[in-house]
Amino acid sequence: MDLKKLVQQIFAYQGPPTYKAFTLEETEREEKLSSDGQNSTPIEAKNKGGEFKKPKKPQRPKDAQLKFSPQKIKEMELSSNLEQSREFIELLFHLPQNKDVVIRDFTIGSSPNFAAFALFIEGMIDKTIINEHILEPLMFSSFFQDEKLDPILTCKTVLLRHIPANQVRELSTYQEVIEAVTAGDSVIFIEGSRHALACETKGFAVRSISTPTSEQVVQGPQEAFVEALRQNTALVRRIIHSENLITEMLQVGSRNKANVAVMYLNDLANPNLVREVKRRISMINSDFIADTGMLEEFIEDHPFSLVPQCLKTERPDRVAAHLIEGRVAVMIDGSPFALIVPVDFFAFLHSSEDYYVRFPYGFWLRALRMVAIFLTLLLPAFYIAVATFHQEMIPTDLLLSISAAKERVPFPTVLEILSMELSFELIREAGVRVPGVIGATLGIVGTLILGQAAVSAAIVSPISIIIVAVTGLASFAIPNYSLAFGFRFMRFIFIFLASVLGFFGISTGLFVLLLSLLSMKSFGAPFFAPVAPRTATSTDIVMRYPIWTQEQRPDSVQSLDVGRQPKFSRGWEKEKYQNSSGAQKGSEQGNGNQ
Amino acid sequence: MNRAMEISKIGEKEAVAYLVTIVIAKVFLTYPAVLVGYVANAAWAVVALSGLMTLFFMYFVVKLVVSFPGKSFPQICEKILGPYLGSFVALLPFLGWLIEESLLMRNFSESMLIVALPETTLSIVMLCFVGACVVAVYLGIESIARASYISFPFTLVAILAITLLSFNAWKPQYLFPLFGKGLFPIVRAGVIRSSDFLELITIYLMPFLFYPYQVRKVGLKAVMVSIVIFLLVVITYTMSFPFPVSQEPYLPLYMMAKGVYLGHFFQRIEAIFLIFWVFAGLLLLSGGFYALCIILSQVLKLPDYKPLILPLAIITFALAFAPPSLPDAVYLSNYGLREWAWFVFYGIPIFLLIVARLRGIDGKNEFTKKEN
Repeated sequence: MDLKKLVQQIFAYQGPPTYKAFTLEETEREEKLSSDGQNSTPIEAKNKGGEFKKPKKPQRPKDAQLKFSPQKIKEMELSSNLEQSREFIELLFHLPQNKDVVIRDFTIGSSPNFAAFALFIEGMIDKTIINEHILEPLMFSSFFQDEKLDPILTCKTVLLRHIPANQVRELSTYQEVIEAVTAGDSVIFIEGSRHALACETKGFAVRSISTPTSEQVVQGPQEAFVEALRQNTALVRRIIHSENLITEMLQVGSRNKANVAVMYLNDLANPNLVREVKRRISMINSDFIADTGMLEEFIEDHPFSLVPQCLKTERPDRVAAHLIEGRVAVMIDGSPFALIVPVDFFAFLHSSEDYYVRFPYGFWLRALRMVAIFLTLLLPAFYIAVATFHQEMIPTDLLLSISAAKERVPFPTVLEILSMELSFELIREAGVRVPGVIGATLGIVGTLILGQAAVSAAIVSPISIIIVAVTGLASFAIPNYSLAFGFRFMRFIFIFLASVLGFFGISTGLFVLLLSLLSMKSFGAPFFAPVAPRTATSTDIVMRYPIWTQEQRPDSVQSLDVGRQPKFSRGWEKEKYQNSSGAQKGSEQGNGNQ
Repeated sequence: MNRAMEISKIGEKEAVAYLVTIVIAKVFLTYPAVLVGYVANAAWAVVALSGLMTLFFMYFVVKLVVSFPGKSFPQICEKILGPYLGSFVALLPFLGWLIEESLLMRNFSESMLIVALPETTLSIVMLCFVGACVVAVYLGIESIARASYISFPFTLVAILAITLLSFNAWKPQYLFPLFGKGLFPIVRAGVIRSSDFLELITIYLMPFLFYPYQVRKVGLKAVMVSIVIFLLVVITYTMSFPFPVSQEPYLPLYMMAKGVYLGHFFQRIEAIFLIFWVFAGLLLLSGGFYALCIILSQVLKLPDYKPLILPLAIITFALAFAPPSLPDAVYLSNYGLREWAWFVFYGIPIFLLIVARLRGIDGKNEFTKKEN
């Protein structure tokens, strides 16, 4: 063995462990367009995941005595012996302890008669479907008269001719049976057949579609997602009538086996992006994922960042708008929120309403939110820095009135602000959790504590209350709940920095915050995209310009089709000017790469 | 090739913004006062002349980078001068820059003490600078360059505001006599002070940052924009303070900011500028710090620069305390280092090009031929 190499291996620095980072590469078309001759090669992947030993499963004594363990049965194919099937089913579903699972024995009214049973879970199914469209035709239908059923083909014949339900399919393993029954289907076993029939009979109670609770708009659609996945996908489909809208189904959670829908537009979303989203979801190893919030934590790029990197929304119209931009939406059964990836920072400052009101108002809303971000983050810190370190900045008259108000207050400014901020956070949190009946009390308590009492007891000065109140208002003006959360949290860091180092602390904090935001990625797309790195200008990222100037999709998403609309999207206007010299229809296409 | 080199590239606008930011960050320090010290009222002429000199040197810098595309600076040195001499030459700018970096850190920290935190210990402020730089360098040059791109308009507005809003203090007669102490001092200072644009050597120290076909444009634009900003600052400064007084202050721009008076309500707003000032300083320091880490890792042929961040941070931090006082630090930086640094730093590319020509080494490949 080469001694030099060995010594080098032991003592020399070998570089960081290589990792595979997903980057959303430029699409082929853009690649050709860009004159950049030096493409960076992707980092070589070398899986170095630590291996760990699986803890031994404690084996139940009962399983050990059984001839077939449930695990073994799951892998087995269905048997043609009805008795045995029933025995296995009872074992798998823990009958008769498990009272939700129902087995209904019956006989198919053919000649000769076939014994059969239906298996379903009470409460998950629609009784009418089972009674009228499964049991009735099978038991009493006159079609069976004089029909001789071949035991081997029974299942197929019954499926094709005798069950008037819309979704019926053949199952061949016990695993499939379990999946179907737990999802709300009814499964029919027939004597002599090696298959079973799964009929779609889902009929559990779901909440009806109502108005959004966290993303309200004044003018615009008032529908929000509900907990049922299929209804949610349908809500999106109702907006995008396209055959290219694809819903792929995945499963997460080894125990709760939640269905996850990945929605995208086939002709717009970058295939690499879709693959990456599916890869991340399918590689989650966890036993329980019940909400998009939990899923988000499993798939996001920077789990420790205070800023979210997936957009969570309960509005179908918003999901549709993002799908049209070439992004991917992820929904999970049981959650009224959808995740949208990849997103840039500015998407969190948007609201659907920006587009539903006219451009000048939308523009104003966006500008207002920008201000809100800075106020939320910096106002208390700024006040502390000015009051503690840079008093010379305050004009004399203002300084006099502030110091007069502060005269009787025994605490330093930092403590004043901190205590007020903390009470404000408490009121906010209590306001969310408190039962509706006593909600009104909270308002009174809050007003008293934060308002009059604190001032008249000379605990805080009136100006601190104004500062805290404005900060609170600003934080509620940030349309995204998660982002507002992040910024409210960061505010405390800035308060600390300002109280220790004044403006210097604030600017150092801002520097680190900005750099960390700039280095972030959301599903391979740069997080601060259109601003830095500077990508093709879009008229709807930071500010919202007239909707007819929004000619391109955001560049960072690397969608397959960049152009949204031609330069003259107000075609009638063009016609107006050209009317005299032979009217032309404003149907220019493909100016997206300008 | 180093992995860090493979993945970091910055576009033209970001590159220009970054280079300009790190060059002009020194206007917040003693820069205008030092120039006035050399040639009195003719400081503007020094800026113009040193700018022209820099343009002249920039030609060789760009030529070197373009002649050896895809190579790092230590690789170029080694290719031309052989492994031992090459490594030595590659380490020269490293050492020079290490000293300059620590002096800059000291200067920026001291200026914070003067401006905003008179009762804070120096080490605390410096620790903040170092800490922020370590984080920034860890996040990489891409983030630093992007941050410069975002903050550049703000820095520019801050400089414009300070210089232009001090108009009520302007006295155009302070500009005269137009050639100050005479022609010879101007020429001498003009050559020496071309080291005020020294940060532009980033172009040849980290050539992998730029797209080869953009280097020339980036370098030219960066020098031009910097000259304009320097001129603006120096001329307004000369107009604001008469000669013997104007060479005194440690923080000339701060003195100008103090003079801003916009009616009764808006006065004494210099603290606001502090934010942009710190930002520019942090960008300069973290960018320089990144360069240090990268060059050392490339000379030592390490696959990654990150393990060097902390050791170099500690060395810079310790070196920054070496000057016994602020005047010493200012003196060392402006008269000790920058008076000869231009010769070494701009001389290296010329030297390398000459040796390469003599030894017949040609780093050009098809790519550059096509581009040029």
